[in-house]
Amino acid sequence: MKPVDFGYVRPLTIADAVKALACAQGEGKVIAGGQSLGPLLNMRLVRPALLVDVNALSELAAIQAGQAEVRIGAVVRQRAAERSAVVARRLPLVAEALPYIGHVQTRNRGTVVGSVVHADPSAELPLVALCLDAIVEIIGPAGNREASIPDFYEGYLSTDLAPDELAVAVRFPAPEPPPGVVRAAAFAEMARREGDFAIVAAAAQLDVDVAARRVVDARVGLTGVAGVPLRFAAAETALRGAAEPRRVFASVAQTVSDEIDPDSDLHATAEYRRSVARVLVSRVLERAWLRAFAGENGR
Amino acid sequence: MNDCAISLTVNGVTYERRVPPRRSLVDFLRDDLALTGTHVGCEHGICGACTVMLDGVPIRSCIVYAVQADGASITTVEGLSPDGSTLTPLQDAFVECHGLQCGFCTPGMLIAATALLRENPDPSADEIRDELGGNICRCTGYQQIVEAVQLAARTGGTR
Repeated sequence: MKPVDFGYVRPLTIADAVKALACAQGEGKVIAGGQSLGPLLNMRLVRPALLVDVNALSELAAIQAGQAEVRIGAVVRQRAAERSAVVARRLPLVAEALPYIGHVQTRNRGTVVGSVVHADPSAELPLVALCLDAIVEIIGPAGNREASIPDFYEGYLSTDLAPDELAVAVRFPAPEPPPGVVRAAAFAEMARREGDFAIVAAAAQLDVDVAARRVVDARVGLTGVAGVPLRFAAAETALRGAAEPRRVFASVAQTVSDEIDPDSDLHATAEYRRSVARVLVSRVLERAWLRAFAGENGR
Repeated sequence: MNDCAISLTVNGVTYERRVPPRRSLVDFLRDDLALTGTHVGCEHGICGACTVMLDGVPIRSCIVYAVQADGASITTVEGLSPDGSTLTPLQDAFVECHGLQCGFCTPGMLIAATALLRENPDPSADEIRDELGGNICRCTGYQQIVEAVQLAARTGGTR
């Protein structure tokens, strides 16, 4: 299983990378970690004329913590993010999701931005990016632009990124919670084997006023149940402002499960996916809630 | 397409070669450098047989292209033992515990377990199973592999 022949460049500047993509006239493909692209190339499901390897763009190798957001550059490995104290503290949901991605070998090479941009409908990071209202920073021949996540995803493996554009970073909003409010997150995944693609995965992030035992903000999402990751506004609204919310977790999970319309495939029927979704949503809400009081976000 | 000139270090030896960009790192190691210790299994990043260290961390060499390893330092199973003729404590432990049968997955297991023991000299059975989860073995049922890593942790790890 060998890829078809392709050209290869490893530019040293973003400008050269964008130029190389433009010269390829739509036949170029960016490679960072290559953990999704490599298999697709080897199986000849994609046949780009040119690979533009961005791994030498050292300016994109940093995790930058700003006042209200954390910016992750395009060549930051998933393993580096997994071990980052900034990610653990500021982006607990990202930290919770990362260990579910493939295996150590995968995460040593795979990048955070690459996964967000690859838009696999059962992948972890697109779901997390959706839940956190992440923004993709893009540079193309026409200049810089930004795309917000719900609009960025167009469908199964499809995004708003043009063939001559480069995603240089993803910014995750991470404002400090107000005093007395603890942000806690949980991620859960059902797969046939650990490290496999998720049949269904669920994410929850709760901002909790600990003294009042009240949810101030809630994010709830699922992946593996549609062509794109999904968030659930009705569930989030039901949770927002709720005091002692554990009594509503089961009904919120049921609402989410009723709202989705998953497909059946080789791995799971639609009915089974709906059932797993209900269980996982209930589980991540419970876990996030308990973590808000335990003051930790270990897996 | 035009071949690319690359220079990389494999097990401490520097090699300069020209490669077509589509050549995987594992094919380069086996076919260009005749280092056939690294095995090639699924060729799409699932089975872990081709695991090597790239700049000190385990990666799957079937979905990294040789051209991307230009300037990198690679360690394969041939490079685990410093003198190339004796075995590391981990390799000894695989022998002792019967941590292999057909041997196809073993080079990848050894690289992954070596990396694990460097970071975590005393891993629990669960940590070993988690870390080796990306390496498929069809013979052993994994039990003896886990025992081998535990034994190596007691007898000197990776040295």
